Amino acid sequence: MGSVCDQAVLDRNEKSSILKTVGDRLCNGSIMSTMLDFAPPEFGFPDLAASYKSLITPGIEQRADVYQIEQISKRWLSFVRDSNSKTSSAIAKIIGTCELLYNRTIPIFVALLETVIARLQKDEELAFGFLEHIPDMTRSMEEIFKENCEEAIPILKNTLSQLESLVSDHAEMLRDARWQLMLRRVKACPSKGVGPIHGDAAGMDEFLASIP
Amino acid sequence: MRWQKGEYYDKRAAKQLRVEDVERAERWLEKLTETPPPGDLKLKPMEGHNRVLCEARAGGQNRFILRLTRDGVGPLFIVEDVGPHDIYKKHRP
Repeated sequence: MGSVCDQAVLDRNEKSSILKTVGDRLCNGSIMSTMLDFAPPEFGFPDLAASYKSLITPGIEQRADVYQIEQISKRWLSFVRDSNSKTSSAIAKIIGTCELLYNRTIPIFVALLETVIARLQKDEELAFGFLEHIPDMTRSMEEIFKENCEEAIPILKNTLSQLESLVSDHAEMLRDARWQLMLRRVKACPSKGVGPIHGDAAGMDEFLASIP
Repeated sequence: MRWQKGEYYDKRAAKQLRVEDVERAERWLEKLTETPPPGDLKLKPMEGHNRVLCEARAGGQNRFILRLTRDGVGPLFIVEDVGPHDIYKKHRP
């Protein structure tokens, strides 16, 4: 029989049962919904560009004016701020639950961490993908605006700049929570060393003592 | 420096890094063999962990979590985990 950590990693039945109770509720329910899940359908993430474009494309009966574009921008920024606040609260709940489980039962705690860490990383990748997309989005939207609503370009730039900063906050929040849980996992379940030992100990204590 | 992989390291690296990043992390681990370690490894204790948990760069935007322990020979780093860390810096003004 292995350690409690082995059981947590290897016992599929136990893991499955845990995920059905605690893990599912935390990770697949409403708490850890991503920005994608939160996005209102009319401004579906990450199709902000398409939303603006639909308002100013020639041919539709009434073209958007600066005021409308400003309203969309405000709504989007408010949505992302709200999403950040929900994420922050969800993370606090998750970390609180993990701490509670840590004091009760290590196998459940470790199995839960495996799932939560993976989910946080997936959400981070979504947010990061959006950040990477912003420069292209800015360029293509500027092109559209030049032809149809040039006076709204400063609003567009300002919105996207604020959006970038807010999504960065969101991604960093997820990243910090993931690292906090990764460290907790190491403390709850330190690994045994496996395979060859590299290097030698000479001078190591002196070096370690020298690091502030 | 003396170091050894932890029993969960390979599994975690495979799950949390892209294949090319896993290979690069292996190369960065080799740097840990030097004493003192090269400055670009940025090996340092993590705040609030009593100098038991340390971090080091794992190439690109990734970092290792190392746990400092001792055996009959002397100090030993167990390489516990690795994951992306610095990927949002370029989006900061």
